[in-house]
Amino acid sequence: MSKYTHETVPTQFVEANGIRYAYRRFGKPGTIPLLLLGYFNSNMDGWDPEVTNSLAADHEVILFDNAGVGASGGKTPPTVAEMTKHCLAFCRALGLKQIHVVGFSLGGMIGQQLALEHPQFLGRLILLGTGPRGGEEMTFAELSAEEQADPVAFLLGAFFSPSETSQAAGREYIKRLESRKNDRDLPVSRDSAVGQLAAIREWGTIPATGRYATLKSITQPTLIVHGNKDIVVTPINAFILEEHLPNAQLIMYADSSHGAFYQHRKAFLEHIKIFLSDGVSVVPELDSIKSSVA
Amino acid sequence: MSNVSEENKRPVLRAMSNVNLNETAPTQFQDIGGVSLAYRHFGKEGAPPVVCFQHFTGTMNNFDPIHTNRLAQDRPVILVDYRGVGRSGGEMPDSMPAIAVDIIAFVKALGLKKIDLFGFSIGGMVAQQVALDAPELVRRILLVGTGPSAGEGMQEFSPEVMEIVNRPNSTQQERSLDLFFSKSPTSYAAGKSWLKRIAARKLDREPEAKPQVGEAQLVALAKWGAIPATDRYGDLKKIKQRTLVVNGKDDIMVPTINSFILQQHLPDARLILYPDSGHGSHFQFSEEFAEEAARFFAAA
Repeated sequence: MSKYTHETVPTQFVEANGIRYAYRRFGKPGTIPLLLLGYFNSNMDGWDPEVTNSLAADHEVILFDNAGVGASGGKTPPTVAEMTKHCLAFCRALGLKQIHVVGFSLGGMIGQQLALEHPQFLGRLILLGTGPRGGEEMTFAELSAEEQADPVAFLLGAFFSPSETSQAAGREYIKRLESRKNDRDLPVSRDSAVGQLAAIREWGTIPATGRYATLKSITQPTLIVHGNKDIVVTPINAFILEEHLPNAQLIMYADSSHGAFYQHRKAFLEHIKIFLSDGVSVVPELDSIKSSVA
Repeated sequence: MSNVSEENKRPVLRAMSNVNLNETAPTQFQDIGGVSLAYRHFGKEGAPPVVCFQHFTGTMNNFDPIHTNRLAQDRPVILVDYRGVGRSGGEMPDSMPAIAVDIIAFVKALGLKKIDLFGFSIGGMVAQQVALDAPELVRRILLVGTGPSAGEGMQEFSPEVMEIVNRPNSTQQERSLDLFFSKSPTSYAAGKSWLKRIAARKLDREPEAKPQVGEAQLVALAKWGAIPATDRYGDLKKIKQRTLVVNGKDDIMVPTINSFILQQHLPDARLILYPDSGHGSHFQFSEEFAEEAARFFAAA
């Protein structure tokens, strides 16, 4: 276990192809790292410390700003495919041999693209609140002026359901985001957000043929986690992923929206732990039951 | 389970946690007014019991000991055969409300005030009906390989399923393999392990369901599947109990989309779909499912 936590890990930089990428790396050394890829308009400070610190107990955790985002240099490209190239360049620059991806929303799209293009490099895939290329209603509106002006109201409205329980969970999540006091990331610029919006809209465009055909090529063990009332990526997309991916488990939480895994973080952390420890259940033979009879 | 020698160092713990009650609990009978239902009752007393309902033409024999023994560590487990099934008296009713009347009478005759429900396939429909008709009795609901009334493709079994159900010269075990598991070698092997597990109990096994059971259950399924003119899934919002919905990604008996529909319409439900599996995903992912179910019932 490294001495650092989400709150204390210093931001570092690595350069590849003339671009300086910002990242934070902590957790259990000697494990296959979990690369965390964030949502639209977010930087490294957007991850819930309770989730990252818990993951860091068993895995190395890497937070990363893609090109043009937060403290990273370069320009945010307008497609998921180009973001994936940056992501891979960053990983290569760190000398990583294999990773598991935890991709939230836009990050989950990059995770799918990475799985398609570099299947050997990606061990397991965790898709949070995301959808397949050309999914249902993945048109994505621009942030309104009010949403731009009041990010807390935006998060409570988009990541949490209107119920009192969900809203209370949202307020706690927002409080936890402030637990890192020093060396905070730079905000996402207007230019970067414009690039990201173009990228997720391009990803959401329904292709003329073979709408979900590429999904069958993603053979990695995959865990899909979604909120039952996700208003950003409508829940049927998680079901579509589950039905088309060859080796995926779906978990959909109650009374929750885009931030379901934050609201249900206790269950989520348990589910992700089971998934990363074996993923597939061992089917015990009769003998093992017999032998356990007192 | 994997390390027997390690287990042997802790005989007391082993005795407490792994006793195979599914295999040893005697079959009992409870009169519900003119007819008696066969049931088995075992497990740790103190928590609300979980009452378990079986699949199409199945008996108590078919419950997976990995599930029942795990749940029994924390709470009483009650397996019950519907009227007309196994050694339960009478004839199988041909509607979910009629089955639910029996179950509610059974629960009250046992003197239980609060129960959890665990229903597989047609058993999951019975569980929904019990929750609708006696909501005050029900605390939590576990639904596996099932669907809502009027669900997608639930008006009748598909030709593929009917071919298996009516396959000449086949045993129920052979049919179950093709109905409950996917076509992958892993899934099929898991199915064979499940068949071995449910054959392990030697003590007073239930006789296989008589032909009238299947006939009546098909009628009950058709009524359950009928699509009303309005408010197709309106009943689901009345089931306010916390619910866990589980299925395999390729269920040919109750199409998997119905698990998604259940979760979208039930007010407080979680959905889990397992990879590479069908109707019997919980038999395939038996230990993961058993732990998931135990956590679901135990959670505050």
